[in-house]
Parts: sequence; C-alpha cells; structure tokens
Amino acid sequence: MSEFLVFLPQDIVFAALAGIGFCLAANPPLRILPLVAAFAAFGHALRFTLLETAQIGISTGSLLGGFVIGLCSIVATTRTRVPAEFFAFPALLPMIPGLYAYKAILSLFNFMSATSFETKQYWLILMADNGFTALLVVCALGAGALIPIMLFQHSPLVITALWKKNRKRAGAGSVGGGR
Amino acid sequence: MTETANRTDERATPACDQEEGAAPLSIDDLSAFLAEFLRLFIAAGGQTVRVARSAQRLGLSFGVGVEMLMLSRHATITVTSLQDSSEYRTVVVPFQPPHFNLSVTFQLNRLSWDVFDDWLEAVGSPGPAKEKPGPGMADVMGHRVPEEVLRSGAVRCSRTSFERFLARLHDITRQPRQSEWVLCLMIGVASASFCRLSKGDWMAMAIVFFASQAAFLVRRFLVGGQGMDIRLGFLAASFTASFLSAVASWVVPSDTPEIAMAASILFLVPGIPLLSAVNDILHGHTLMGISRGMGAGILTLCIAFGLAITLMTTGFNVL
Repeated sequence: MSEFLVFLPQDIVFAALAGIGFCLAANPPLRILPLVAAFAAFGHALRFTLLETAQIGISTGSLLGGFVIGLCSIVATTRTRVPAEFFAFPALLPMIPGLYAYKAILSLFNFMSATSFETKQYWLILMADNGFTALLVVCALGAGALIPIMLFQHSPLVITALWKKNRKRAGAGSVGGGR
Repeated sequence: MTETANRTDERATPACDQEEGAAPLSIDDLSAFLAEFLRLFIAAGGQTVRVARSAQRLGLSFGVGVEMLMLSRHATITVTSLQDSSEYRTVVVPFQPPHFNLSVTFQLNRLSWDVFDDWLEAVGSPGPAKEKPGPGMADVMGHRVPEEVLRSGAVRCSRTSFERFLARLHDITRQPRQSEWVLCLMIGVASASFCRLSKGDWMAMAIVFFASQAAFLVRRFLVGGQGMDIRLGFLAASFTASFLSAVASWVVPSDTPEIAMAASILFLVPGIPLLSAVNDILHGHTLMGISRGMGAGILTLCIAFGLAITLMTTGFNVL
C-alpha cells in the first residue's frame, strides 16, 4: 500500500508527459495540449489506482479510465469548441496496451519454433492471454471514451444546461460533436 | 419559389448574395471542392463519422445532396443539385495511406462549420433549435432552418465566398508541422516516461530516452527521406531502438533491461489509428474501421518483428 502511495505521484506526472509526447506526434493544435496532459494523467492514475487497490482487471480498469476521459472531454468541448475526440484520443494513448501486443506476437513466434507439446501449449496460452488482453483493452478504451461522447451528442442534456452560461455562442447544438 | 424562400432571399447577407456578373457555381465546382475536402480529411486521418457529417454540412450549404460510399482505398461521392435533380456528378476519390494530423482535421472541421454558418446567415436561420424546431422549420445540425429552403436548395454559397473557402482549403495542408527536433525530444521524454510507468528503473529510463530518439530519427530518415515502405521503416526503427537498448544495458547497469527494450519502441505503436478503428466500427462504418485496424495491426506486427530480431541476436527475453 505504501509503495502504491509513493508511486502514484510519479504515475500522474509520467502519464501526463507520455500523453503530451505521443499526442505531439499527431501534430495537434497546440492549445489542446494542457488539457490532454491533464486528462491523460487523470485517466491513467485512475486505472493504476483501480488495478492496485481494488482487485479490478486491466480491461475493466481501462473501460473506466476511458469513460472518465470521455466525460472530461465532453466538459472541455463545451468550453473550447474543440470536438471531444480531439481531447479523448490523445489522452488515451498512454493506456494503449503496446506491451501486451508485442508479447502476444513474440509468443506466436515462440509457439511456431517450439517442438514439444508442452512448450507449444505454454506459448499458446501465453499468446492467447496477451493477445486477448491487448484486443480487449483497446476496445475498452475506445468504447469507454465513446459512451459519454455518443450519449451527449446532439442532445441538449444535463451538461449543456450546466455549461450554458459559458458557451461562447448560442448554437453549439451538438455538444459531443463539438464544432 | 414559395414565400418563405423569397423572404429569406431578401434577408440574405452580402457575403452569400448572388452577385451580378459572376458566373453561378456549377455542379463541377461544387463536386470538385467536396472531393478535395474528402481526400484531405481522410488523408489526415479524420474520424469517418466526422468526415461524413462535415461533407453533409458542406453539401447543405452548397445546395446539393451528397451521397457517399467509403471503402478502404477509395470513396465514391455523388453530388446532386437540390434544385434540378437531373444535374449530378459522381466522383471517385482515391485515398492516400492516412498520415495522422490533428491540426488538419481540426481545421477542415472548422472550415465546414464556417461554410455552414455563412449559409445559415443567408437563409435567415432564427437560431439554434431548442426542443422542437416549430412549424415550417426543420432541425438541421442543431439549427432551425425553414423547411422550404432546405427542400429546394434555393440558397447557395456565393461565388466570392466559395473562392475564399477554396483558397482556405488549399492553405490548410500547406501549413508547416511542428519542429521535428522538438518532436524528437518529446518522443524521448514520453518513451522514458512510459518506461517508468511500466516499472522500469531510472537507468532504464535514460537508455529509453536515447534509444527512442534514435528510432525516431531512423524512421524519419527511411520513411520521410528515402521514401522507404512504411512497414519496413517501422521494422528498421524498432530493431534500432531495441538493439541500442540491449547494447546499452550491457554497458550501463540497469536492473530492468527488458522493460527498456520494450518501452523504447512503444511510441511506434499506432495508437490513434487503433482508437479510430474502434470509433469507426462503433459508429457503423465497419469497413473503414476494419481497414484502419488492419493497417495498425500490420504495423504492430512489423514492430514486434524488429524486436524479435533483437531478441534473437542478443539473447534477451522480454516475455
């Protein structure tokens, strides 16, 4: 537990840095970077906390992290008039399961070169484990972020009413889609 | 033309008025604009839903109907005049392999809204739709528009503003990207951060910082400079980074050389294409989603190949 508390601040800082760096590779409008960093840190730290303290698997944790990032992006959209996915997708990048994908592919190579039945079985299970984890985490991240975005798209709902005063112009009708 | 349409025509602003003397916009101009818009948007990696919606918005403002069929390498768009349905064009737009660029997609989206705002002013839209648009009014993308204008397509963008928007469309791709050196530095920082996130030690972070920058430069040289196939470029970059990490961890003491090797190539993983694929599939653009996901999957496979070559030659084991 104490180890977790020591690592949590580091997780926040490094997730923010990773978010900025990976986002820059896609040549974003520079003004979205601070919010992307904040959302990336928040989402990643949330997932880290859930994994470490609350017996939650990585795919469920990613779903929740993605969901929170999607909600934050919706709120950011109503204030900045930048579409929600411009915040959500770069902020999700530090959570992309690259390591699992590599491990799945390397296990596949090992499976092909293994000779005995037992070793083949071992690598096959490792490949399925890592491959399904990678696939499910990507889907969970995308779906988790999209649920709030799709829910609030085109619908003058709670959040619209909440942030109405701050909207720069009347007529940003599609909240999730932004403008 | 009905009374509603007449009234809105009189209220039209100078920006969208039909000027004297200038040739009216032909369907060829409009379909060429839409095709170029679509091509640029997909080449910059825009979300398929957003691309489709932006094109619909442009079509409305131009007084034409737009029907699209999007496949992985081509899109077919049919542009039909709302005033005269015998006047239509079908254009096949070839797609380049997407090169993700959020600034370009952001500005293209903004451009479509600006064209639409111009049109809203010209048709005299009384403002955003609240609950129900009211009698004789239709809800178009959250704005109230007289139904009659919508059906007849009588109000079109003017020649002068069309030329202005066309110039803006061509300007969007000419804008310079960020400095490559800043990007290189930030890739190093981000990869080192990632190493820490996967519980690597400080020495491993230092290794990753330099190895990922080397991989970035290799990829930039091979794919950007030499025009090598993008998949081979990714393979070479991944091999360079992981091999450098392996060699460096023999020289400097690090307890987690495997994490360093894996983290130094994580920035190559096409994260935004993967998420876009999920997004496309969830929005029902299944074919676009699968083709994007497949492209990202092949790149990931090539990156893993590069790592596998390093593992075979150096004897490390990441698993």
